[in-house]
Amino acid sequence: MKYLKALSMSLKKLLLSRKGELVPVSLERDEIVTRAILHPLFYSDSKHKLKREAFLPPPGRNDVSVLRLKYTSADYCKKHAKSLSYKGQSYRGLATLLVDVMSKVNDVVNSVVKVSIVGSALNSKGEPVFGKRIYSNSPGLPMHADLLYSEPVVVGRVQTEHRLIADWMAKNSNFFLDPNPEAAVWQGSKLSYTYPEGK
Amino acid sequence: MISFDMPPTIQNSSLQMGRQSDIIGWADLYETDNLEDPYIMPVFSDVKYNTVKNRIISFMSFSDNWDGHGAIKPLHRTIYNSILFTKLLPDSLLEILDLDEISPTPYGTIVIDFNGNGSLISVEIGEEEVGFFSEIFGKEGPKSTGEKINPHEISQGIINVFKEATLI
Repeated sequence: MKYLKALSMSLKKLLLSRKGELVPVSLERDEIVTRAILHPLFYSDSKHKLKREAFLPPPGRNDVSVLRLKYTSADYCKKHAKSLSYKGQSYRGLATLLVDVMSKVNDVVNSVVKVSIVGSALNSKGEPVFGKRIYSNSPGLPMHADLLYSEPVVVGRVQTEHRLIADWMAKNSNFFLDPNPEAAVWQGSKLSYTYPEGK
Repeated sequence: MISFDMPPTIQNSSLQMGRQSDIIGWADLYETDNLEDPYIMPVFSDVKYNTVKNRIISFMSFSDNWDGHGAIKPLHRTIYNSILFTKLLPDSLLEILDLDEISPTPYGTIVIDFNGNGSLISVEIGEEEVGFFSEIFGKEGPKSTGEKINPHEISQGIINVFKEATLI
């Protein structure tokens, strides 16, 4: 009997280790999210700074894709960043933002547009996964999350309120330049988040 | 043909084209199919202006989905409006303009940031409107969520914020 119990426990452990960690939809305040940074439009080489355009959604949408570092690795963040099809842009590095910091944006920035962050796992076809338990080893992008603006951006229309939010996020993000963008693995500094000076 | 061969001047507290007669009827012409693009029109011989204009024109070569997430390239009319806007700028503002601070957004507008005297004025130009937000000497400054583009002059709201930042 004891033997069977031990076997059952071992099997459960094995199963869990294969599934990985349960990925909740809501994010903890101490979670770090990463965003792929492209050159030249998301990063200024001359000023060594992120541009706010890195945090603006595509037309007709209100979401900006990020990855939850807690449920993946720097290597995978890089692999994913490099897998996207950029036209005329090249992958330059990764930006990090702490959820705790991001949660303050609506209070700090004087904008009628608000922003939130939510886990939004994608399956291997890139489709959202609803109503299922998601584990860190689930196929697709279980660690995917969205920065959600309260309103979508409209093609060709001035979006001052969105840009104010994006400007704050760019200023409060940390940027990690990839010293070897061609390499398959991340060789830069350990991804982390440091509060900007004076904040 | 519309001729842009004179630099803009400041008159009566507003920025105006040097030769107003050249752009009479601009709005009507704009709607026609045979309107010449501003980027092939004759331009005044200001090196910085040409450099700025070329930077804006370079966005034409973008492809859609340049960010891998569905961004579109700047719209034709946005590019036209942006060149027109920079054409109306006084030399002092053109001089402080860093080419790296002219950027397309993922949704087809163009942003031009002016930095100086510890201030930022971030102007966004769209298909029909121009808007801005600002930080004046490190503090939140005026903003505009968009007003109709006037092809003859830069709006008083933008001029005022440039003045507040002592950039003009």
